[in-house]
Amino acid sequence: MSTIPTTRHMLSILVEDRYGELARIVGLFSGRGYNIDSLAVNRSIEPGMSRVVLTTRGDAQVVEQILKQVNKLVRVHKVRHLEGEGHMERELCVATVRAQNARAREELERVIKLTSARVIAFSATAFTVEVTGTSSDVDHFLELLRPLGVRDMVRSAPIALSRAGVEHESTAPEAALV
Amino acid sequence: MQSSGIVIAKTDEAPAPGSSRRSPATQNGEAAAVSNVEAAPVLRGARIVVESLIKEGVDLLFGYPGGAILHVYDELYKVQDRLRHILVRHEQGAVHAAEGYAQSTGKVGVCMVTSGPGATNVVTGLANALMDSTPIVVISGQVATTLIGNDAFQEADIVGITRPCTKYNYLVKRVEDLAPTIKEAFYLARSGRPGPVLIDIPKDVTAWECPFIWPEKVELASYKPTIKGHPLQVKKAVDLMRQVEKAVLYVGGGVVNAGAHAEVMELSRRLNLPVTPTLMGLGAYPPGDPRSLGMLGMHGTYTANMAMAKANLIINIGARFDDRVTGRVDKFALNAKKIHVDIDPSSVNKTVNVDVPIVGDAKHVLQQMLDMLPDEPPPARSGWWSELREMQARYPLRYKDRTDVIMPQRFFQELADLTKGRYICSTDVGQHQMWAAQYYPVDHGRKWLTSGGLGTMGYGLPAAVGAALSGTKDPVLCVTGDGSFQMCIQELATCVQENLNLKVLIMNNRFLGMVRQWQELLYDRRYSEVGLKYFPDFVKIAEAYGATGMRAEKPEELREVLERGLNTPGTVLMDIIVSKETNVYPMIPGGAAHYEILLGPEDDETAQPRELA
Repeated sequence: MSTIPTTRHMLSILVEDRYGELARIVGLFSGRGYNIDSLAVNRSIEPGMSRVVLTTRGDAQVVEQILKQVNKLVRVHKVRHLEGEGHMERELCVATVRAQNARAREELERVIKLTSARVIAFSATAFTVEVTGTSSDVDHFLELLRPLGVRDMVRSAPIALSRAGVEHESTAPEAALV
Repeated sequence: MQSSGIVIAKTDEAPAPGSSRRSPATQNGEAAAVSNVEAAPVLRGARIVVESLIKEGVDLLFGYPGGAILHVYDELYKVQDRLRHILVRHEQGAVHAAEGYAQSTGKVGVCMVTSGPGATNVVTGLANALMDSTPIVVISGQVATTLIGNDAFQEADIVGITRPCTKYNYLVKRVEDLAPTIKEAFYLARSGRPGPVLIDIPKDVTAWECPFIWPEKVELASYKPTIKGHPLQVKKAVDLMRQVEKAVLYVGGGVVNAGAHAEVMELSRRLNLPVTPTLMGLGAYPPGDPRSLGMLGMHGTYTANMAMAKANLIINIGARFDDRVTGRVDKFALNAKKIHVDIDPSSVNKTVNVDVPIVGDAKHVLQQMLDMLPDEPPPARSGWWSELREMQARYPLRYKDRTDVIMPQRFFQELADLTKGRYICSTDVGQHQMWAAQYYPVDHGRKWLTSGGLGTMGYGLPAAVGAALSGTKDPVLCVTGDGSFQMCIQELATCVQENLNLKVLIMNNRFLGMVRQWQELLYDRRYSEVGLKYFPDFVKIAEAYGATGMRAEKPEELREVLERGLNTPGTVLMDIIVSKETNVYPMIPGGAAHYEILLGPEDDETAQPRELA
């Protein structure tokens, strides 16, 4: 099973902001043997509703099953499978780099310019920088920072929003099945 | 243990003069928006629970009291004339009884238990009801809201524990939420794909007061089960059913839950379709009908399984391509187009990819199909039928009878002959369950109570208790094994206490027979922990409980004991001593393809498609 190459899928879930509902979603994944790669939860534009954006892996059949299972949860109002270029994705990364000498600081400055990162804190020997972008943007950013000596790093889960008019919806079961 | 050490929360104490007994939220004025408050009677939470159940039409529930649920039991005491409580002997018995009641009546079964161990003891029943789509509502007591999270006496995170084995569950923290929650719980339990719902109620919530307002409707924007099938999909299905000669109708528990027996019969008649029910679908189609091929699956008939393997069209109504039916999925029905009617969208394309998925209620969709069928004589399907008839003639269910010992199949045949399948029959899990499924001619879906998905040993006796209280005038049969019976044996007390017309039939082979069978066939007869070296005298046990006990040991005693047992009033236990090492055939071994059917020693060895995985 583990040898089957699988692609990343991003799901956007609108769920009632109630006690235990997040646990229901997360439990569904663990209980059925699916992995959650990342998870972001916060309030949504609709009052009383939370937006959950998560990424998971699986082939087409697994993703179809995940979508249906999530959709089946009583308090889940909408599940969207964010595919292809139809959505904007952002992830936040905060990293502290050493940059002890002038050469390193110069290099850091170059990376910052290149990636539209910015310094949010600094000391005599270290800089804390933040960057936002897609997950792969953040991957590249960290690649560039590595030679400078990354002391610590934290990444948020990616969040994403459908571009208006090109939504890939997977909500009503009938719609998905016809 | 459940009745000792009552936890009394501070909030349970009598209120100080002048203080309110309402929940803290109400005191903050949150409930002020509720209209009609003045007209509604102000009741204690415990009373609201009881009145809500009555409003839902519940007149019977099964349970076991304890500290956290005491307030509610106090109210039950006061409404005995309107709401009957059946005291079981173990909470597992209560939940299975609620399932048996629900399966035999189609109504929601109700079970009430206390916190901690009381609630954890219903977990098996919840998982069972989830797998078999049985509508039940379990009300569990919880420690007071002020104590939750403190590792209080008899505290367990039951909402957390039962989240994956319920359709939905609730922790009610405000007394105002009780009535709407109960209303919603019953709606969720019975609608869509039915299932178990648990409501956890802290003790102080049952002590607080608020106006009792029974909601007339449930509004759930995010929960709208699809009832009607998509017309275009239904049309596609109808066209296929008319065009494809080698077709088979595969019916499951969804037909029973939807009460679609007549529609299945009509569809089969108008299209001349062979029908095979699953274990959960037994009774969905009359077993004596010429178009019935008998049960499908691991221990189903040769013809039913081969019909699926040879068919060019499979019409699945309310079944879920369970692994006990498909065998190896990559070898399942490769020549067949598949139509799948299911109320649960997540059942569709889960294990088997289908060509025509139809999400909807079995009864509605079948009716849509019937409406679309043109008025024409049924197709002959003569080639297909002659192929099926040939298989039926060659490989019927059969066994070699013996005169020195009662053969298990003989026992079930005699039982079938005496009862004609008219009585509700519950089973436990194992060999006896499969033989009962093969030989007991269930004449209606709601007369067959079995643990299909979860395979819960211990289900049979309490489920029969629930069915015996469903209003049937006939005796209720509980067919069980010497292993399974001992898992909920304590419910004999409930049977006698309620003077139930319940007949327990133990197929006693002194083995955990199904496991032994697998060990014989797949583990080179290494019988690891399957011989019950000590087993009690079941006749004496029956007598000790105040029931009637009898035993049949020799073939010549069998008929007489069954007749006498079935005709003796009250709770009767019949201990039927059968051959120790008989196997259930046909059998599709685990991991084999569904056409790699193992037949019994009675069948023609050379003709056997014997291929073990």
